Amino acid sequence: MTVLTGTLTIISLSVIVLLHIVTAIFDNKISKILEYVNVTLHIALVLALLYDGVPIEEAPLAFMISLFVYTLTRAVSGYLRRGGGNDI
Amino acid sequence: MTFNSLEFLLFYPVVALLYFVLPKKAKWPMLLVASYYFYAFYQAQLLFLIVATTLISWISSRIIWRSQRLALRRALLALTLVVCLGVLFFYKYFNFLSGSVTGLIELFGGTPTRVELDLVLPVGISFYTFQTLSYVIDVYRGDVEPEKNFFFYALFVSFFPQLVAGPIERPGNLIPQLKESHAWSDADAVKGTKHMLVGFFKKICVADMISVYVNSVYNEPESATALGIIIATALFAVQIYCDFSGYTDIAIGCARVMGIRLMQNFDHPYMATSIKEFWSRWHISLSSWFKDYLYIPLGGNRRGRARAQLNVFIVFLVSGLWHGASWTFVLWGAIHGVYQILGSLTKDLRNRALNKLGISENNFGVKWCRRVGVFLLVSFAWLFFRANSMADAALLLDRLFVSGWSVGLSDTLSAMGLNTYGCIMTALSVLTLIMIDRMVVYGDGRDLSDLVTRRASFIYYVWIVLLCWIQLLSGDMTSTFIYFQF
Repeated sequence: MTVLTGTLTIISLSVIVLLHIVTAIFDNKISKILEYVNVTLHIALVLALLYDGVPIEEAPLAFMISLFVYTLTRAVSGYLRRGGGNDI
Repeated sequence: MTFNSLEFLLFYPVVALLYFVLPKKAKWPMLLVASYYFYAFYQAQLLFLIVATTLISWISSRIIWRSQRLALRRALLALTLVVCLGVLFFYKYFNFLSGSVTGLIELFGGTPTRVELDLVLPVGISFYTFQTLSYVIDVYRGDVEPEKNFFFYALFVSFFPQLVAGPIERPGNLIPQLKESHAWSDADAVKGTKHMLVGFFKKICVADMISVYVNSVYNEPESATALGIIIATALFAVQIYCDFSGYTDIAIGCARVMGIRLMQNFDHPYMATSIKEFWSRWHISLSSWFKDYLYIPLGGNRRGRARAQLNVFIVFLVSGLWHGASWTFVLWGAIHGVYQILGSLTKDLRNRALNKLGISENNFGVKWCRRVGVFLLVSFAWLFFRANSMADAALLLDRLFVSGWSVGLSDTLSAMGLNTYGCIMTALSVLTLIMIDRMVVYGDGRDLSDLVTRRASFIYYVWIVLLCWIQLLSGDMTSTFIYFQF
C-alpha cells in the first residue's frame, strides 16, 4: 500500500527533511536562514497537500515525518554538541 | 470539561488572562470560581461532593489544630477519614462490594438478592479525596498550619488544572504558591505552553491513535490472537503512559503559565531498571502519597523484613483498588506487590550472580536487559489493568499462552486494523516521543537565547498544534483521559 500518494507532497516533504538535516549539522548564519526557508516550506507542504487532493489521513503522516526528522536531528546534534538540557 | 475539548481551549485563555489582569485580591477568588465552573461543566450535579468534603476537612483540621486533647484530635481525625473515605467508598465501591458479596454467596449455593444502586462515579473523586486527606493528616501531625480562610482552602482542593486527575498536591507545596501573586513571566509562559503542547501531542497524536488498535483486541478477547495480545498490550503500555503523563503535562503547563509549579508526576518510567524504581518514576504523587500516609504508618521497614514485605503488598493491593472498583485492578496491584517482593528477595542473589560473572551492575548491556525486563513485567500487569473484566483477563491469558498461536502476524495486524499507514504512524509517533524526550535531556545543542533559533523552535511547536488539529479532524471525536475514571 502506498502511504504518500501526492507527487508534490513527496517533493515538498523530501526538501523539508533534507533541510532539517542540513540545519542540524551546520550551526551558522546560513543554517538559520535555511530554518526560515524550511518553515516557509511547511506552508508550501500544506498547499501541496491541498493541491494534490490527497486523502486527509496523509496530512498527519506528512507532518509526523517532518516532526520526527526535526526532533531526531536536534536530539542527535544535541547529543553530539552536549549543549545541556532544556526544561521541555 | 476535558483538556482536549473546544470548551477548554476557550476557557483556559480567558482564565489565564483574567489572572494577570485582575488585582491581587481578586486573583484567587477568580481561580476558585473558575475551578468550580471547570468541574461543574462536566458534572454539575456532583459539585456538592467537593464542597462538602472541603468543608468537613477544613472544619475538622481547624479543631484538630486548636485542640490540646489528644483523644479529641484522634477522634476527629478518624471521623474525617471515615467521612471522606466513606463518600469515596459509597460512590466508587458500593456496587463493586455488593456484586462481590452476592457472587460469594452464590458460590456457596445461596440465592441472594443483589443490591445495585444507580450511581454516577464523580470524576476525580479519588484524587481530591486523597489531597484532602493529606491536608488533614499533615495538620494532625503538625506539619502544616491549617488555612484560616475556607475559600482559600477550597481553591487548594479544587485548583482546576490538577482537580480531576492530579498530580495529587501536598498542602506545603501548593497553598503558599496559590497565595502569591504571580506576575506575567515570559519564561513561565513559554515553558508552560511547551509543557501543554507536548501533553496535547502525547494525548492526541499518540494515545488516542494507539487506543484504536488496543481496543480492537481488548474489546473482543474471544477473537484475539496471541500475537495480537502481545502487540496490543505493548501498545497499551505506551497509550496509558501518553494518556496520563500527557494529562499531567497539560496540567503542569496550565499552572506554570500562571507562575504556579505543580509537582512532577512522571520521570521516564520505562527507563527504570527495577520495579521498585518504576514506582518511583510512575505516578510519583500517588506513590509518595501511599508511602507517607500508608506504608510508613503501617510500620514501613522498621518492623523486620517480613513485615516490610507485607506492608509493600498491602500498599499495592490498596493502590490497585484505588485505581478502580474491579478485581482486575486489585489483581494488577497484587501482581506489582509480588514483583516488588520477589525483586527485593532476589536482589542479593542477582548481584552475586553478576559479581561471579565479573559483570558490573552499571554495565550498559545489563542496564538495558533490566529495562527490557521491567517493561515486559509491567506490560504483563497492564493486561489485567486494561481487561474489561476478570473473565476477559482469563480469556486473554488462555489465548496468549494456549490457544491463540494459530494465526500469523499479517492476519493479526489486519484484524487489528493496523495497515501500513497505521504501522508507520504508530512507529513514528512513538519514536518522535522518544526524540522529544532526548531533546529535553540533551538540548538541541544551540544557544536558545538566539532569537532566530527560538523563533524556529516556537514555530515547530505551532506545527505540533497543527498536527494535533489535523489528527483530530481525521480521527474520531475527542476521547476522555483514562485516569478520569479513577
